[in-house]
Amino acid sequence: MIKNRKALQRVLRLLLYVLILVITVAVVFPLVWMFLTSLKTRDQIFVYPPKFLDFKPTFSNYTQVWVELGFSRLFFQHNLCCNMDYRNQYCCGYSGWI
Amino acid sequence: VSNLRRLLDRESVVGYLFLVPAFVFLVAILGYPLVLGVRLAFYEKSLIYPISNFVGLGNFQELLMDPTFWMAFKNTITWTVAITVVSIVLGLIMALILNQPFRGQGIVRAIWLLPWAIPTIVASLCWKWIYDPSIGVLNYILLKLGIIKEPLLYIASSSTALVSVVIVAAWKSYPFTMLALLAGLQSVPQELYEAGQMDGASALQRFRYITMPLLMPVIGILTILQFIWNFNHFDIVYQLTQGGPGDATMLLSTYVYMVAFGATRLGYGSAIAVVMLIVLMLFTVIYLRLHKKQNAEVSL
Repeated sequence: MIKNRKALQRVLRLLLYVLILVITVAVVFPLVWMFLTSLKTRDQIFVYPPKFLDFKPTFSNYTQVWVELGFSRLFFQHNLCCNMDYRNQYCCGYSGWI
Repeated sequence: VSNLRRLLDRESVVGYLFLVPAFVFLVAILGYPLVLGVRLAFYEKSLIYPISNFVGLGNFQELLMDPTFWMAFKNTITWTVAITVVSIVLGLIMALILNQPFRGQGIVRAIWLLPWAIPTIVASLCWKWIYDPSIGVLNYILLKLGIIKEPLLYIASSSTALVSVVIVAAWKSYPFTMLALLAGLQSVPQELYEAGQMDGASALQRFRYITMPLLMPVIGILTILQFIWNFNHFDIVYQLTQGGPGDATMLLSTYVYMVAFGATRLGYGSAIAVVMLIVLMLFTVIYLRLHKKQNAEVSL
């Protein structure tokens, strides 16, 4: 009886891990896919069937964003906004507490 | 002078004086636009033609006859209920899993929170890419797994579009419910479970009679919050389908945008927005009631 119980517990434990794995894959897949796409060239993106890992990664998209779009400037501005918002939330938190 | 002095000596007066700046700000940035918007709903105003006629309830009369409005209303209700239910059920399941001790718990929790942390525009673009009917990866995977026989059109077909955007929105909003429910689960006293086990309650019974009743307040608040947020939701639908194909994913929020800034009919757009406001006010009242009740229970 006790042995059965232990076996049951192990099976349940295994099921738990499988469930966690399945959910994690389902949840993160879009993000992983986005990341993989960011490493592809235009030709590699527009193919069917889609390539998962069998392509030669390139960082040209990143350099392009950084150089041609001025990413550092956008990043700075974005952070400025976040900073303001953070201060705002901080003050609001206190006034809510009072 | 002595009168003023006496007035200032009273604590409540000073308190109100301190409130004045905040109140002025609130009226200026919340009250004024609100009044302006509601006022616009009774006018025929366009951004192209220099007209601004008072039409009374004309806009609302038109609203009742407008099939797109009813479609958008129906879609909004479906959308709101679907996302609320899915995100709460998913959030509950995931919170229950995270509440178990297992290896790598911290990492899993962080990963499951990711969709919430990324910007909506990034999420929409990412999903738009995945949903692409011809080169999208979702079709490929589902075909490979044998779940579907032929490629689906997702956001490009009116029969699947609403479901597709709901999936994206649920994916984006479940982490919040998960986090809130996890906090709720962790506040359940462990002794109750031990006592339950002593008395021979099975795991299912412990869940039903200990966990659920103690989680109910959190679930109630979450339902109302999700309802309000999703009823207002605009960006995912706008970025993925812009209300199309046809009016299949048209929500009230996107319809307001299309009418007010696409067709530049500010008055009619405001009328739709007023209808939304009324519905939302209803739910806000419910939320405040619930909140008050809960606070009363806590102070007991």
